[in-house]
Amino acid sequence: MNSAPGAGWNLPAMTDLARLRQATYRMASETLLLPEPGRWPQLAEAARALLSEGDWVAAFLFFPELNEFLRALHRTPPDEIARLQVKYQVLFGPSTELKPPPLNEAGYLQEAGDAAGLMLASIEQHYSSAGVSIAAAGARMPDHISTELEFVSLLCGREADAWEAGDLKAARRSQDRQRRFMEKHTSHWLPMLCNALRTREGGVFALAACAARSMVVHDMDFLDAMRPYLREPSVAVARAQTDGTH
Amino acid sequence: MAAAGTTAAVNQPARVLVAVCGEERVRREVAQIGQRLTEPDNNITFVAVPGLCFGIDCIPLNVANAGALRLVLGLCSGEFSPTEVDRVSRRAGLNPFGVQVVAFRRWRDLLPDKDASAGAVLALSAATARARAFTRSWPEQSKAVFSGLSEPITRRSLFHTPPVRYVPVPAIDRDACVAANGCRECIKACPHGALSSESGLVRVDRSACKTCGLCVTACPQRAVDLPGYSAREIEAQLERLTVAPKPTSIVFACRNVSRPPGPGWQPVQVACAGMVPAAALLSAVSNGAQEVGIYRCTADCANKSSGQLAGTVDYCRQVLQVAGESPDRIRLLPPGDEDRPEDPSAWLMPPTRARKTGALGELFGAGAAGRELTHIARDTAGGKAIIDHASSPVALPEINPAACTACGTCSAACPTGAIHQTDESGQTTIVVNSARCIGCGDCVASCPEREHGAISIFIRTDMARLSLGPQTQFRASGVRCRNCGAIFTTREVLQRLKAMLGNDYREDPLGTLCPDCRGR
Repeated sequence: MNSAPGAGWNLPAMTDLARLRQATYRMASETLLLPEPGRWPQLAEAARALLSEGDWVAAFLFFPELNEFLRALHRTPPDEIARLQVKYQVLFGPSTELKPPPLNEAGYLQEAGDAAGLMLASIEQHYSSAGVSIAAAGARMPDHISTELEFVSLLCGREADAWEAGDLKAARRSQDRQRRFMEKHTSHWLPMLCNALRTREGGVFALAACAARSMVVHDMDFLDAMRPYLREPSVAVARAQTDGTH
Repeated sequence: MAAAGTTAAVNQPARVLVAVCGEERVRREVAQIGQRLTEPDNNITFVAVPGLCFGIDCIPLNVANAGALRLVLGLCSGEFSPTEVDRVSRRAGLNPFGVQVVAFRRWRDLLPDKDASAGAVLALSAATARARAFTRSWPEQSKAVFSGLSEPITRRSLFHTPPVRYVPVPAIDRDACVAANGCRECIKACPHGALSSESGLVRVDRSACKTCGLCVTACPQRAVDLPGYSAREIEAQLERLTVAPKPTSIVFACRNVSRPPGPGWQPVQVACAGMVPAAALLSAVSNGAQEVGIYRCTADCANKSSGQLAGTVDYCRQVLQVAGESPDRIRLLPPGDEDRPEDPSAWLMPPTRARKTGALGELFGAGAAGRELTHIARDTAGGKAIIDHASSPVALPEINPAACTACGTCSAACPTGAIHQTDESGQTTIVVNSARCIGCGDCVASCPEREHGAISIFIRTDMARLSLGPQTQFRASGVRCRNCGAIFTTREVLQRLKAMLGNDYREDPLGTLCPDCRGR
């Protein structure tokens, strides 16, 4: 990790933070798909790597939820996958007893019909403006939680690349895209999914949703607060002094 | 046996780790403080760590060893980094909003004086109570702000994250909130326009919120939760301070005051000095506080609460005066940027005539100030006084029997239950409780007979009325449905209808059948 001297601990580089966010969104995205034997050992390994990343992560609001999620992934033994698959089916599959918590945004819309169409069109627009599209074969729904989180992860990856290349403009562009997408879509329904899962399950699926929720809430503020500092430095300082949170 | 054991475990207070900075040369004295703190409460683990002020990385291990769920830090250098405390708390698995930091002066100044040591024990004990009163916070209840950016930012520095700090943001308890009935008290109180109402739900604009806590105080239902500065937490700390064996001097200090108050004061940190309710000031004095001060950040607070605060203090001083106490027991201290408040012992207050009820009770929400004022009205010489003051936390609703129709709209609109309507034994009764009235005026605004002056509100404290308790102000005869027998209106409503409709009024069915039976 690149670091600069801070007050008592090292401030993380923007690249590190963007990479951490990229990894977390990606892991939450993968966890909220039907568990597959080949994927889970990779997730556990990635969790182990992130857990050892260092103290700097604790400086951020999302640390408790992220830590809990990573520990749960890391603790899941490979022979548990079959049990997790059953759990996933019971939790999200059709049920006669309880309405399963929807894993897609349309399931949380207050009005059906046209609203769902508009929402999907808006999502597709976000994807296409970033130059990505959903693969036609075996594709997930564009508003599925794992698709939305993977999209945010991709944008975080681009941001990290931009920081690494010293391209401030590209980093800012990617941050703006992330913020707009989360504000319009993910932030509206992820808290509801998280609460529904916490009430029903409380296991790794709930922890994945809650870690992603905590990160989305954090990032919306963080990117918003950071925006003025990515412009003219003198303007940014003046704004920071006027804003001075009281 | 198992059931009893379970209950005991549930009722047990949360284990708290109290970690203080203990210099080697005062080790024995600090240990004594620990002993005095833990003797009456075996759910406190006390550790003295030399040099804690300069590095708190040992805290997660200590928290784990103690099995603690809450943390209180006693730091003496006054130069600790709040960001660092937050980071280490998270690493320890604790919510930083629930962590209490007691900022002492240097131990060597404190310890030779026995009273000061007693003060340290009291401060740590009160902080423990406050830490225990913290419950939890959701991710949506905090927002990121960047601190320490006071110098021009270089392009290079942008490639490192700025030091981020998180401040709490309020959340509304939808089960307790009565915005659906028309209450807008929190929205009116917010100086930053961060609260709004949409379809009967109060929404918080997190980017506009400046964490002043004025909404917490304004809410009559205690439905606003600001983690770290919630009504529960402030009440718990204040309660512990007022049950101290010796009268204490308490200062409510704005969180933006960086310097600790002068010696002798027990600080209670608030989000903004403007959030201190009159009930807290009066109850603290009534329950044994020698003096109560308010320590503002600046004379011209960014939350525009200076006028409100001055009004509250002036009102409380008037109450003390009519109660035969010295008004100087409650004071607005010089702002934190001008001068430290002086040592309270210099004030030479006469011995307090404290009531010492043993429990402070609720200090926020409707009825809190009314309850305290009722005690004052009953127990002191001020029992018949009337205080006309714009900052009176209680008001007096007056119903005009000549114009009221007992339609029930006012009682439905009242967010505090100060106006209560009952329908019993064929009679409709309106009972008014001045102690719960906050003078919001929702009853007047909603009254269909307001043009005829059916109800008025007087912003005043009428001690005599308070001591009488809830009073019946109006009785009306109910009219029963000739078909089902249920009371469906009052004679006064029918008379009003008759006057409004003139020749179009039809006694049958309007005055004889209830709306349900009319449709059959």
